[in-house]
Amino acid sequence: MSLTKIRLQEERKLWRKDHPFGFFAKPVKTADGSLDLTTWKAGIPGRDNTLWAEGTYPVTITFPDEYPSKPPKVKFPAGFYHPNVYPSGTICLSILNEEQDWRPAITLKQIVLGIQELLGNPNPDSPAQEPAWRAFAKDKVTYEKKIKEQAKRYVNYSFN
Amino acid sequence: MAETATTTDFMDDLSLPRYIPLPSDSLTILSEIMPKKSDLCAQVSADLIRIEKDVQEFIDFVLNEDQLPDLEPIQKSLDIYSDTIYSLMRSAYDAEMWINAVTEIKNRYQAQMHTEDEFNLQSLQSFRENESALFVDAIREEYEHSKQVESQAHSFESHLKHEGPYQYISNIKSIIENPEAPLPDMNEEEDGVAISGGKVSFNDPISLMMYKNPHKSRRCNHVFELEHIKTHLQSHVTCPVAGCESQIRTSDLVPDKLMALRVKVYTVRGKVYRDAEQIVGV
Repeated sequence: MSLTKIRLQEERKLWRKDHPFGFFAKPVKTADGSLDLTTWKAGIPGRDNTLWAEGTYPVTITFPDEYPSKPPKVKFPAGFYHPNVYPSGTICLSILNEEQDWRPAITLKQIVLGIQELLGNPNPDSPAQEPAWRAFAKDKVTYEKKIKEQAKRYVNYSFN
Repeated sequence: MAETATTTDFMDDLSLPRYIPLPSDSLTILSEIMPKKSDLCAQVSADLIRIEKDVQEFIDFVLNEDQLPDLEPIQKSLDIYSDTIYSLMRSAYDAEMWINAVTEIKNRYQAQMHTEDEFNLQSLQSFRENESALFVDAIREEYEHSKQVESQAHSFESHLKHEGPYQYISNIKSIIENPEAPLPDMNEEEDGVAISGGKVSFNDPISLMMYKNPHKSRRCNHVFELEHIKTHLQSHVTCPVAGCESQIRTSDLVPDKLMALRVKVYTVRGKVYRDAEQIVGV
């Protein structure tokens, strides 16, 4: 069995045994009903007492064949409003970048916690989309309004 | 021990200036009460090496057996080994204190000689009668004093804890006792054992599978499954652990026998939930 498959099975066991409160993560089902361990759907709750608190935000996590040597790709839905999310939904985060801080020992739990942290603490130095970045830097009122609206859309969001 | 080993007998070092009229019997007295350092150090080093070899063989034996051998007699021999190391180190440490006492008193006497009146036959006589005896006594007293200071400061205990073989044996004993317990941290920064919730992780951080052939990076002490870390190092130079800035080469990897022993003791004792989980899981 390949290292990628072994690792993903262990990640699955680890997540089922223990994961942070309010999060969910599971591999998608293929057409024949079996699990595709290389693509996961996950939900990331906004942290309490932040603009993001109300929502649970959906991400798709895609693991490459070279995982864990290379990092997974993590995407919000296209058009997601956040300064460090590309229009396609791809998240710009150093621990998800092989050239930057990705390391094979980083677990799924650490990734989703890192994304939760990024929601409330955008990095102004790596803009990934125009609208959210501009509003975050120059127009906090609009920014906060947009974030709250988005949070309402993702209340009780689930994939089922 | 290497740094304290010396080829010259430390009694040679006792030579006082010729103008100090010590009777020759004070040297005899000293040589009787003081250990011969060179012999002692060589002996201690040789014994430590032998013990280290024995302990290494024991670990290999345990690791190569399919079943876990009866641990009780092994634990007893480990206790004897630690006691032996303790006594060996103790005598070497005491010898060191004797030497320091001799140096200290010698310097004190030399300093005195310059300030005191010149000798004449009378003062020489009184010196022979009093000072020469006092010279030996002063050394003895100085030694007793430093011994007392030492026992209050527990400096020997901390010296002992940093001695490789002694620490190694206590680590093995602790692992046999409870394979999941983290080891007491002797050199805070050096210790790279991954600990989660007060337990040592038996899982390779790359595959998340339990170790089969754990190897440790000498650069950062992080432990990995040999097969997976080798693969990682084919395309990377960085340590796979997040936040670790060490650069590793394959030549930096050494077998981590203590981790292998942990896994062995843990699995064979039947505390394995993983098999059961595999049936229920996924």
